[in-house]
Amino acid sequence: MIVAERKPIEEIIKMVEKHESILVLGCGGCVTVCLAGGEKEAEQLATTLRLYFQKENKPFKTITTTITRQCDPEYVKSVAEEVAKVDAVLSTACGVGVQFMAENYPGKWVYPALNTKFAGANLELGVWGERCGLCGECILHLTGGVCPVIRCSKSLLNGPCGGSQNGKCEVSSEIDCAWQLIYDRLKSLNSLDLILKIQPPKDWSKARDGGPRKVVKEEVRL
Amino acid sequence: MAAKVLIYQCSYCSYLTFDLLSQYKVSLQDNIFLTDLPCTGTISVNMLLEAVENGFEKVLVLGGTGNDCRFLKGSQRAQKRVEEAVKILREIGYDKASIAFYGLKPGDVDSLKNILNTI
Repeated sequence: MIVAERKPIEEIIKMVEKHESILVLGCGGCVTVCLAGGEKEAEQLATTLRLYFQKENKPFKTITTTITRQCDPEYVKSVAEEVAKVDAVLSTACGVGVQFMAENYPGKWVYPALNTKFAGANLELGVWGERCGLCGECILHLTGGVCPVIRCSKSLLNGPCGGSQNGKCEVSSEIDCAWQLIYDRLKSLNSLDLILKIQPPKDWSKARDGGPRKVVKEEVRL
Repeated sequence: MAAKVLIYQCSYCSYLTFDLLSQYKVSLQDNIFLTDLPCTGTISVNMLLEAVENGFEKVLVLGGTGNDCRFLKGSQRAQKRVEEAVKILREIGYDKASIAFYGLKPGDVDSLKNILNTI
């Protein structure tokens, strides 16, 4: 899932203070699962803002609603009535949702309430870790299911580097060395021969370096 | 005029204690509003903030102590959410209200009386 976290409240206040009414729009997708921008978090943010402006004696109204996803047109279009009633939208979706709302409502400011962090997994209650670098060309079948692109601090495809110490990365003792993880995993799979294969330079044009990407599935297009 | 106080109480840990108060001929003042929760772990940060928004100057959550929680971690969860709500009030500079958590052993009337005396 996409993992995000709420921006500092002062930053959000600065964005919305010039408006008198906003729609706090929650998203029922990834940001609900990572407890950053779902129904509960949107309600909580709206209450926080109302309390702040109540303290400041400034008129400020909120409408709060949450849609299934802010990255699908059918859901985004379903809030047209609410959007029409307010000066601006404060989206608690990831950056995708914020942009998609802005694209669909060109006459309205859409502000991001979250900082979108990474594509990751829930490691334990309240803890998320990065797992995918969205590089566009997966090589997990060669590395035993551990991604060196995102889990190695240097994104080395032929690791480890000299900074691997006792299974930890030289960048931080809290970071596992991805290549140690790859070695351990391949060993347990009896496939250590894979680690000896030299990976050619990665084609980064399939990642962000090739500009904004698009996926088209012709078979579902009408 | 006395400050409006809202008390969210655990039906298991503090309800009994409030019930026992009557034996001590202690009655609640009119400015204190009690709301029962099946477990204080069900409380959300927004419930606490909304209480403040609705004019309560003190919001108390009365749960169990660490080892007495009927639902094992309900009180710990409530405590964390109270901490988060307090943090939010501090962040926005809202100082007209306070939110606090108290852990009570079921039947501990003396501690409850002490808490009520601080209101």
